[in-house]
Amino acid sequence: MTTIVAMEKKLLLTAHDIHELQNRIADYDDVAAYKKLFFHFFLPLKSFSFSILKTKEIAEEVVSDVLIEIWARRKQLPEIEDLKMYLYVSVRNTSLRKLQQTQKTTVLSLDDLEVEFASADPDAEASLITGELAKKIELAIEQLPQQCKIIFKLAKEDKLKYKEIAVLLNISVKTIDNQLSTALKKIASALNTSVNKPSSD
Amino acid sequence: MQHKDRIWTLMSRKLSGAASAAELIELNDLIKGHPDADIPVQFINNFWALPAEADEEFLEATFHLHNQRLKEKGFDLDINKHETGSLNIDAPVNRKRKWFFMGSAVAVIAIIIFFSFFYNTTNSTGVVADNKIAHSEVSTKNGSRTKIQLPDGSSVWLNSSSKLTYNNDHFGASIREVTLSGEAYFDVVKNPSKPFIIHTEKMDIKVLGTAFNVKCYPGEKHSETSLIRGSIEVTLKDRQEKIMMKPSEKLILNNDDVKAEKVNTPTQKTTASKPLPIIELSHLTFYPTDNSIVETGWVENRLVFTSETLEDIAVKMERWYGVNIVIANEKLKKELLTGIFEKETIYQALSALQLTTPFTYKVDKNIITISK
Repeated sequence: MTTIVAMEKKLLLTAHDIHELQNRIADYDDVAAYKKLFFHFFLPLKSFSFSILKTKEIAEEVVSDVLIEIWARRKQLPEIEDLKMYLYVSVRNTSLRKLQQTQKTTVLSLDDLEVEFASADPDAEASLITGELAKKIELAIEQLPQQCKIIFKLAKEDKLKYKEIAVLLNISVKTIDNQLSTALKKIASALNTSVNKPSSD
Repeated sequence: MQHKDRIWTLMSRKLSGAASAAELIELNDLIKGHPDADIPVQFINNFWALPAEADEEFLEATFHLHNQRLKEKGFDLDINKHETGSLNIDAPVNRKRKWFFMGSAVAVIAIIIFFSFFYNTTNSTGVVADNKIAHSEVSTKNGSRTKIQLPDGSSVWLNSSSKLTYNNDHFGASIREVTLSGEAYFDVVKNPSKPFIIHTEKMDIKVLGTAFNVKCYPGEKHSETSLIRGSIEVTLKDRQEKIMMKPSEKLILNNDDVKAEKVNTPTQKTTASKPLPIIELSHLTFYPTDNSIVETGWVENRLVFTSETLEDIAVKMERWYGVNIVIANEKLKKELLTGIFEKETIYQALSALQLTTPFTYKVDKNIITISK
């Protein structure tokens, strides 16, 4: 059942769909298309901005500003080949600029990020994990090192690719490969202790 | 514990789309070789796919605020203007369809379809586009796939070498009718008063509102209908038989049997006393490592096969990559293989297959010859 749910969600907006929306906004000033983009990107972008700024209100403002810029320059939208990355990079840069105003730093320190996870769809989650196990998984994720946590979040929730995460966080693909497998291994071992299997480690 | 580390490295690559075909095969073999890894691997697969909660109310409120900020900066968005419903990439989530915009919607879709089959007629042979009687025809060649939206908002993903036709004037008047040859995935907008009917050579499929895959390539051994959600009614033309399908069921119709009756050669008469099972109701196939549905993998640009003969895989690859494949060795034809190709080129795909089944291949223009 979870597979089917996941598939429907995935069919929500493909890269092709996003391109079509870009064209509609540029050609017809299509507000409905713009709203769809907003609905699709707002929460993940806000959460990414929050990890840098650590203030919900400012993070929301940053994302809103970036999306206002998209509307203001909508005629050039079809020229943006990868809108998703364009938005993430814009949000990162705008967030860092805001941070500079208060802390005089423009360097993204990975250990300094605060990672906030979106809550899973309760129905889908209930079909997979319940009660005690859910707590163990949550704890395992909570205990991941900061860098590991942000990589895991960007890969799982934001569905970003290795290369995209590498560009955003300015780290190597190799690091991402290592950190993500560490994250999966730790979550899986939390599961192992919980199904009460004699751990073979 | 080295294999465990390796499994998680490969899993991270697979889940984030960075794994090569060879790595997927390696992962598959590792899991088979270490059954204790099976439960955690399945769990992580499902956990990874858990959808985030779509907080629609929060988003509506935030969009409202966003709109006010836009206004302050001099951009006045008229939310009720420009709902170009035709190109709507509406997911099931959006229940507020604006039917009264259908007029303009039909006009836009007509143009798009015109262009898409203009493209096709200039590129392939034998595709006839007759606009006068308002027939819309969308077709794909080997190696290409496309997604279209019908005037009622339903989406159709058309796989390679496939053709979808419908009458522009009558579509949606009282019933929604299309004709399909080849393979397509349908996501049909629910409208009980206007049933959606798909005609194929061997069967008709009646739909109320649902998502499913139909495969009916001419000349292939089987026709298949795979239901993802909702319910459909399949009528077998040759037998006047109706079958109701439930989610996750798959109906396989043996085309050979019908052909045998038509051809009626003496050799086939001898076996005619023992009728072949011409229909089989089975289940969707889930890919072993990630539980994805094999039948609809192509919709997400994945060529997926599970325990299929190289002979059958070659037919799929011919369509997928737009090449011709000849297998020169009878034993090789029957080799069983499992795998997923996503972004691999035909050569990467072939070398991944070589890892499990040693063979050599020669390329001559568009023809690939596989031999021992």
